[in-house]
Amino acid sequence: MILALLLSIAPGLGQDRSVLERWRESLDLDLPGEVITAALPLVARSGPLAKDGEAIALAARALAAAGEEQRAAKLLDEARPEAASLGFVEVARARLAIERDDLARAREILLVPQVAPPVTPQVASVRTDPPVRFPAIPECWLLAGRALYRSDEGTGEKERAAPLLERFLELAPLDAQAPSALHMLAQTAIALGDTAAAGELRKKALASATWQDFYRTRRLQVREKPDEPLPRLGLAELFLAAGAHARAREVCRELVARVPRFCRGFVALGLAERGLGDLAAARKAFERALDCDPRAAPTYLDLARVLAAGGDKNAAAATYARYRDLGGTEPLEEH
Amino acid sequence: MHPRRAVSIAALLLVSWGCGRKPASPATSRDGASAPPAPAEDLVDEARERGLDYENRSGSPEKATILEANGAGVALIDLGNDGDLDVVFAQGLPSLRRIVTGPGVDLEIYENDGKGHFSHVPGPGLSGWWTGLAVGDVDGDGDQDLVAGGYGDLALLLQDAEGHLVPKPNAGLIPDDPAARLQVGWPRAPGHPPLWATSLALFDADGDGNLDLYVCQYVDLDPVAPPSGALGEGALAVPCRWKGYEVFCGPGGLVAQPGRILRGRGDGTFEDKTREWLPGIVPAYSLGVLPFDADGDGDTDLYVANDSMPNLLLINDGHGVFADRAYAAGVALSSDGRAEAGMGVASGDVNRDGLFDLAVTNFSDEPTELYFGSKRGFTEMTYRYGLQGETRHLLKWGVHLVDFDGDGWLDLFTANGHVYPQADRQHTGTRYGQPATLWHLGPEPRAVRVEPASESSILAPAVGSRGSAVGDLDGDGAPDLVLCRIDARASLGMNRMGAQNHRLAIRCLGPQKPSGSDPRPAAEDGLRRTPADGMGARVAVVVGRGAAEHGLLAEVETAVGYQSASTSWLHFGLGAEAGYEAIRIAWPSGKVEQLPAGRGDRRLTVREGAGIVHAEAFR
Repeated sequence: MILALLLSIAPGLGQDRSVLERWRESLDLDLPGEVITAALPLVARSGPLAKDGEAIALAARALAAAGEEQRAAKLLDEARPEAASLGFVEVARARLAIERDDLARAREILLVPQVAPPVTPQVASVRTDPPVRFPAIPECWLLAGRALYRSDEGTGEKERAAPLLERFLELAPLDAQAPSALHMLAQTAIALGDTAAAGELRKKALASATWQDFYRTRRLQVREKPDEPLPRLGLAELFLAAGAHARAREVCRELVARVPRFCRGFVALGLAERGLGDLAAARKAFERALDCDPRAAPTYLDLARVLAAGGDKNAAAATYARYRDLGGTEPLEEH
Repeated sequence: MHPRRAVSIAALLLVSWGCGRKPASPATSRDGASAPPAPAEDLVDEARERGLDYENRSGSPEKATILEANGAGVALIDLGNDGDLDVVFAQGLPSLRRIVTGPGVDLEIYENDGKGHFSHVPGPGLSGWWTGLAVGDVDGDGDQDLVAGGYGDLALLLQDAEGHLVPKPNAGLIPDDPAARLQVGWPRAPGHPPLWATSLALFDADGDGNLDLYVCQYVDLDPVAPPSGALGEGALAVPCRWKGYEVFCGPGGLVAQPGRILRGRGDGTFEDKTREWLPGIVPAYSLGVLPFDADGDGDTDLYVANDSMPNLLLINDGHGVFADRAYAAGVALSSDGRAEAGMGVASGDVNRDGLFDLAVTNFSDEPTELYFGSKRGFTEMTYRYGLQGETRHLLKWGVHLVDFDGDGWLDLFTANGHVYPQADRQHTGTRYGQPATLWHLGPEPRAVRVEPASESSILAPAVGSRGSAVGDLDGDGAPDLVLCRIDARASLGMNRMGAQNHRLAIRCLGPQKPSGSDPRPAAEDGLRRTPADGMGARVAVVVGRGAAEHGLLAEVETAVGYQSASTSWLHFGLGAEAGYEAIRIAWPSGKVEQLPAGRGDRRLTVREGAGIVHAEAFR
């Protein structure tokens, strides 16, 4: 019954990766059982995702997280993914090797053979001549960096790991492993005696870890009570704070669709749209917010600023005047 | 990290062996052809045969609250000054509610007949839910005393001339807050959580020769209205779940209690010096504490293992004022930058380079961390020793770095067991009942697991454990191990390992008190003094000659592992060497003494300024 249900949704998976995102989130939330139940029938040899390396990798990661490393390894060994997604399977293999402390094997899988990364490369050179085998997969950079970092015996591996970790952070700044990458960079800076850089990286690592803690909590709250608006709003605000406006918009759209009478959802949507540069959509969202709550002074200011940015000076002035009437004191111009 | 880290303990002790891992001497090589064939080796559980019938109670089997999962500690203490180690267990109650309604429970004491057989004797008459124990000569009168910590109480028990532990009233251990102490059986309103002490450490923070006390404290847990189901309210409530299963709440989401440090006056009373000695230390969920000289400057520092929060490396300025240097030293977080769920801590010189290394136990999905001391801070060796793969499915508590088999290399022991009975459900990657584990850590950077040789091994049963303590209970020179299992009978692991190897046991004592002085005067002259029980003395035993020469380093501290106290005797494995070349002792007073070569297989008592004052062969 469950299998039939899963298979019935599978045909759309090629286009809709949201199922994989859901699995990824489940793993981030330490819910491997959920992924195992959902994924294994789909990635089985006759399953609709049998050739999807990313899906197979997530299933293997779930098995390993549930203590079934051998089953995970077997799944990866027997996988026959399409060439385009082979990298995910290889990276998953490396992940298993790292969990078994087989750092040499992980390095072998992840790093381009015979080309050891230079000791002090610039990120630019990492981009143009990537030392990792699967540069399009952010996790490959992280794991390669981690394998090198953990291998260090005062022989420079930490320094070699640094540009890989930096590249990972560029590719996936909001990944659950971002604090880890920042921490390794901070410790490397300490080892090199660069206390200023170490202090800065430590602050970033702490901020990233705090952000991840909130992110995790909000997602748990959303899962627990999907129709409660506050956890989704919190999620959107986290993305806004991180400058991830597209993801904030995604959350807000779902929020206002589920709870159209929750005025703050439109405000957050307006901020996300504005962050993405879509002033018309932002205006529409702020206007919806004011329809919903006509006495929300800050929203008038948000709307006035969008109007001003769009060149509608008269409307901006009128809206700003309303903001002042309601007791607002901020200037129209943003600093 | 403290700048004086560069002065290694090896240098301080003028030990001649070089830094870095050396090839093992043929006598101590694990694979050396000269080593005789090893007999079946094990830590054989003889608790029942030897009369150790303690059975732990720690709440309900369902573990409805976090208190019920944390279990009890065990202490080895010489009661009666007869030279053998007696055993004291902490004890819990069948439910959290019982701590309010009463009656509470007492500590449980087992007296050693000198040959490792035990009799259950009356306890000191306490009433509570007891967790952590610490041992040391608090009043400097030449015998060991005990501090018992628990949920809602802390008690000092001074040993009298007959070897009885007598509660000392008004010892100054409890904070002024009237809610801090939980009077068992007294009415209590909701909303007033008591103190919750976990691990304790008696050590000399300020060098005055009197033992001070570090108290790890955990979380605010309301005994009348404990949290259940979820933390927080309304739409933003967070369910108390683990891997999707409903479990007890905490520690995340509960209020952390601050660790405290109390200055011992040497007369059996203490004063709270937390504000002055621990400036800027934020409250954390503390579970483990280890005193040791982390930076090699001669005073005692502290490592504090926190649950789900960064661990602390508290570096002592020599006068008892501590500053946290864990992050810079690389021991605050995992190498992945995660605050792990630190439980127990042990130290020892694993790679024989003259620097103390650390082992820290953690939650499941986290490894037991192994950090090697280096000239600046510590280097994580967890992964190179394979400990991630070996330990991440276990939830680890008590921990020891002890040379059980006497081959001259330390072994790693951990007590294990999950906190959630739900661990036995599907897809958790772990189990509720877990066996205790032992690994050999030799010259090669790889932890080699010791499998139980028989069903009677303490390593065999998959029954959870928490506290553990190490000491020679039968006088044969080999350190044995007492294991406090949760909701089950304790195990007594009699050491049958390395019978072919030679050993040495050393006890350090402070200088003889001038006659007529009682109690020991506080150091008002600014001079550093060695505590009466030698706490903080660092001992290097030089073994072998020429290429085979190596040094074995240890420090007198009883607080090790989790909520427990081990022997103050130091145990050294000499391998095939029948004796030692030299013993060098750096006393907390600053004096350094060297003792000439001598025979092994003996117990030596060394007093500061007097050399070996007693020696006897192992039984």
